[in-house]
Parts: sequence; C-alpha cells; structure tokens
Amino acid sequence: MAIGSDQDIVAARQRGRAYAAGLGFSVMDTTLIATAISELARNIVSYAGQGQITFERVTNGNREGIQIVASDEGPGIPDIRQALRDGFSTSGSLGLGLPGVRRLMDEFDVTSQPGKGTTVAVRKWRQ
Amino acid sequence: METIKEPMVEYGVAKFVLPGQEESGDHHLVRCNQNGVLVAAIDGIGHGEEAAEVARVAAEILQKGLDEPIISLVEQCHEKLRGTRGVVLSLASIDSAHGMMTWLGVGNVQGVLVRADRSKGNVKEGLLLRAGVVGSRLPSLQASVLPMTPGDTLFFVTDGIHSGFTETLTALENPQRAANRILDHYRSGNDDALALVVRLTGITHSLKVITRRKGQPQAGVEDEYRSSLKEYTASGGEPELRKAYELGRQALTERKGLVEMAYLHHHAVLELVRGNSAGKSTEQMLEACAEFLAECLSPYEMASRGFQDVVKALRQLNETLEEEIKRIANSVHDEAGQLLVAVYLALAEMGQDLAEPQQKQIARIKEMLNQVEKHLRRYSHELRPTILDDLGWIPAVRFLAEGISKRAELPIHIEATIPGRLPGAVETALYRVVQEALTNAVKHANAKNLWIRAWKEQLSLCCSIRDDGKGFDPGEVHAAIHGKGLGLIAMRERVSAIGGTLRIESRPGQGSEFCIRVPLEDDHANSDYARR
Repeated sequence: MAIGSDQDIVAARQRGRAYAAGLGFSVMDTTLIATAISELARNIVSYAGQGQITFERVTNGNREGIQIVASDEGPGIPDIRQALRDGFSTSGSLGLGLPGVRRLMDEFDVTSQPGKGTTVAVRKWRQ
Repeated sequence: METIKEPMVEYGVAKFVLPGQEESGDHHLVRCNQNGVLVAAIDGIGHGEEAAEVARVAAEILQKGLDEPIISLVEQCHEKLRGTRGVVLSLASIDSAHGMMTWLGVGNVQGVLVRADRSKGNVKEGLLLRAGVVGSRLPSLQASVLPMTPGDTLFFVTDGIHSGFTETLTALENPQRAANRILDHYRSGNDDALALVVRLTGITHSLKVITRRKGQPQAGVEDEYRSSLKEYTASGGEPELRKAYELGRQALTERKGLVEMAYLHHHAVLELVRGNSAGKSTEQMLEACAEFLAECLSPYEMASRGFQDVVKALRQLNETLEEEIKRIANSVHDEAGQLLVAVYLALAEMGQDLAEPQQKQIARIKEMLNQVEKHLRRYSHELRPTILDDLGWIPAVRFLAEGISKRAELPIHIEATIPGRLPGAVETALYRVVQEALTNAVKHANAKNLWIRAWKEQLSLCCSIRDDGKGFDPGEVHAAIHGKGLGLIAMRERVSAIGGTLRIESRPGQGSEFCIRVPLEDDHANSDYARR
C-alpha cells in the first residue's frame, strides 16, 4: 500500500487490522499491530515523504503470523545503531519510534542506506 | 520543544552552546513583517559573552527594521558594529503574498532552500555566501531572489555544523525535529552551533501535527480526546482510532501519566453517557469507548516494555561490573605480582658481581619492591577478598579477626549461629562494616576484649561488635572532619545500601557497641537454603 498522506496511514491501519484479525490475532494484538503500522508509516511520511507498506501471511512450522514491511526511498538512516537506541530521538527516549515497534513485535529487522532509502520488516506470531 | 507556529510559517530551532560558556554567540530571528516573514541566523565572532553581545546588537537592529530591505539592514548592522569583533549572518525576507524569498549571506552561515514541489524549480537551492564580516570587512552586497511557495523549507546553520547536513534535507520533516536532528548529527562540537528550520505553511500533504500555540493553556489533549471519542462512538472508524493513537503519543510526549489518562477517559465517557440523547445502547457505547482507549494507550505500552528492558539491562550491568572488579583484582595480584618476582630475580642476578656500595643499593631496591608487592596484595584483597566469595562472610570475619587478634594481642570472641549464605551484596557489606568496626576498636578503643555476635531475629539478621575499651562520644566523632568521623559515615552508607540500620552506642569510659540490623527476604530468614 502506498503511504504518502494521512489518509494512506489510516487505510494501512485498517487493512493491517483486518488482515491480522483474519489471521486469528486477538483484539489486543490487532491493536498493537495497528500501532506498529502507525509508527512505521509515521517514519515514512516524516523522513521520506512517501513509501509503501506490505502485509503478508507467514508460517514457521505450525506457527502462523503476519509480516509487515515498510519501505521508502528517502534519505535513509545515517546511524542505525543510534536510531535503535532508546534515548536518541525524542520519540526514542519515551520508548516510541523504531525501538518501540521492536518491542511490540516478535521479529524486527531494519536496513538503511543514507541517500538510498530504508526498509523495516517486522513479524508477529499468533499465540 | 514544540514546533512553533507564527501565522505564516512554522519553524524549529536547535542550539548548542560550547561547554564552559554561559551563552551562545549564535542568535536566530523569525519575525512576521508586512509582506511575510524576516528570518535571520547570526553568528557572533568568537565565543562567550562578547560574541553573544555583538550578535544581540545585530538582532536588535533587525528587529527594529523588519520591513526594510535586507541590504539596508546589513549596512546598518555594519555601521553599528564597527570597532567590535563583528558578526557573520544570513538573512532571508520571505514575501508570502508574492511567493518570493530574497536572501543574502555575509560570512559562513549556510543557507539552503528545499522545495516541496519539484515542478516549481530545483529541489535544493544554496545561498551564495559573500566572504566578510559585518562590522569589520563588509563585501559588496548583493541579494538574490527566488520563488518560494507553501511547503518550501529554509535551513540556516552556523559554522558549528558541518556542511554534510545538506545530504539529508527534506521539505517534509517536522521543523523542530529536523533542527534537532541536524544539530545532533552534524555538529562539530568545538564551536557554538545553531540550526534554524523555517517552513512556509499551507503544506499540501502532511502529518496533522497537533501543535500548541505559544501561551495557550494545555487544554489540547483533553478536548481533542473528548471530541474524537464522541466521533468514534457515533460513526466509529479507523480515522478516529488513528486519532486516538496520535493523542496517546502526544500525551506521552507531554509527560501525561497513565492515571491522568485514566481520569481523562473517565470524564470523557461520563460526558458521553450523560449526553446520550440518541438513545444508543450504553453497552455498545462503552465497548466503543474501550476500543478507543486501547488505541490511545498503545504508545504507553511501548514505553512500558522499554522500561522493563532498561531494568533488565541495569541489573546485567551491575553483575558485569562485579565480574570486572574480580578480574582486575586477580590481574593485579597474579600478573603484576609475577612481574615483580621477575624484577626481583633480575636484580638479584645483577647484584652478584657488584661491589659493596652497589650491593647495598640493590638491597634497598629489593626492599622497595617488597613494599610494592605488599601494597598490590592489599589492594587486590580489598577489592575482592576471595574467602568472602568462597566461604561466606562469617568465615571471612573469623579469618580477619584471627589476624587482628594476633597482631594486636587482643582476644576476640566470636559467636555466630547463622546457617547458609546470603546474597553477595549483603555479605560483602556486612564484612566491610565488621572490618571497619574492628579496625576502629583496635586503633582507638584500648580494649581488653572484643565480642562479635551474629544471630537471626524473626525476619532480620543482627550483628553486634562490642568492646570494653574507653568508649567515645558518637556525637563528637560525627562532627570530626577526618579520621573516625568519616569511617562511621561510610559504615552507615554501606548498611543503608542493603536496606539495613546501624546503631552505635558508646559513652566515654564505658566501651562501645556497633549493632547492625538487616532485613532478610523470606527464604533467607526461614531456611538455610544457600543462595548466591
């Protein structure tokens, strides 16, 4: 889904929530998933202006889960370790931002190249 | 800091003052004028009070002439600052009515305009700077004019920020966040630095950032919550849920606590239920309210998990520190000790063939080496007495008392009936306190006997060190600047740190007693389960 404006963020939340519910996630989990989508979409609009978010069903043995990938071609993150460290930015010091998303999800991965763009991939497994 | 909104622009500024200075020599200015806005970044030459002063003078001149042409303003500054160190500055006059910006820069304050709409021109425009100093060496002045439309963003940075900052500029980043980021990432650290980010408002696509106008009361989150909650219960959809999440995020940023949020929610729900004229089912309404609340608190969930992580990390850090101390103590003892032995042997070999005077000198050096070895051993032992770790505090105390008793020819009677081990920190603290009390007694008390007792009393561990010496006045000693006074304070600290209390009873001529009481957790108090 393309992310470039407020409406896009709302649409992504809605789609993500519905998708997760369809996969059998609990109400609380779907709330956390919608929150993670919001945080990731926020970053896209804030730093890159536009990007996209995709949802996918993933399996691992007999586990089922959702994979969310947020990517953009924006300025990129100059220092990933710093960005993942709580306390670096205002949102980080409160536990929000990328570190916050990492704690809501089960798996987290970020790749970024200054000038080329950023991709954040997260997974949450259904309990 | 929040992004500040003047009617025509929103801007953010981030400043860095060189440590040791009271003030920054860098100043900024963003003021509305007849046609739009005047923006300036001023860098006083040098550091500290003088630089701040000249920058202030320049800022005042600009303030007084907001509608004058910028070339004229620079000339006025130059005249006023003659004879001073001067400033470098960059100025921009934004004419929002005509969609234009006029800018110029004297010196090295960098300026970049980043456009929001690529179709209107180059995405990035750089300010062409003219070398010189306002107040000292004014170059021939020439301003340039470019189109500037809503969304376009102007960046001014002083030379405490290196020019790499231009790589990551966008016209979409929140101005205050951008200013902070530029300062954090690109600041050189050896100069005052200032980053000023000014955006012409009327942005076409943006995040609806909920900003606060300067000076207004903080009613924002509450009112927004109420109206959004109402909307959600009425025609509930994802937009309102997203609003809830943004509100929660904002509340967290504003340091609103969870309890405050609980009451906020309660009042909003109350208002809804009371005003429920549409006759909606209360149950349905309450369910919707709960969904809204959950979304609003999800940022708090992230924060809370972060807190737990931090606590875990702290605990791990403490353990690592203890390991490090052990390692250092061992290195000091073993490695340094071995080196000393090697030196000793080398000296011995050298000394064999020397004449009498040199032999004496070698003997003196050997003696010094002995002293070094003694000190090393003592330091490493003080860092971490191994018997304390391996056998526990009571055996360590017995061993210590044995040594002291022999050296001071003083009988020390020990009565300790505590089975099992205690947490490392508690044992270490107890050992250190007893050690201090014993040392004191030997040094000052002139005692004939010393008694050490340790026993359990319900949920506490008690330990008493008593002597029949000459006693002291605890009040007087506490007031002493060195010697015993400090030792007593240190003892109390150690005992407090493990949650215990220390009672000192003494009177001149009547001996003294130190009594420690430490609360124990259940499984220490009631069993002899050895725990580490």
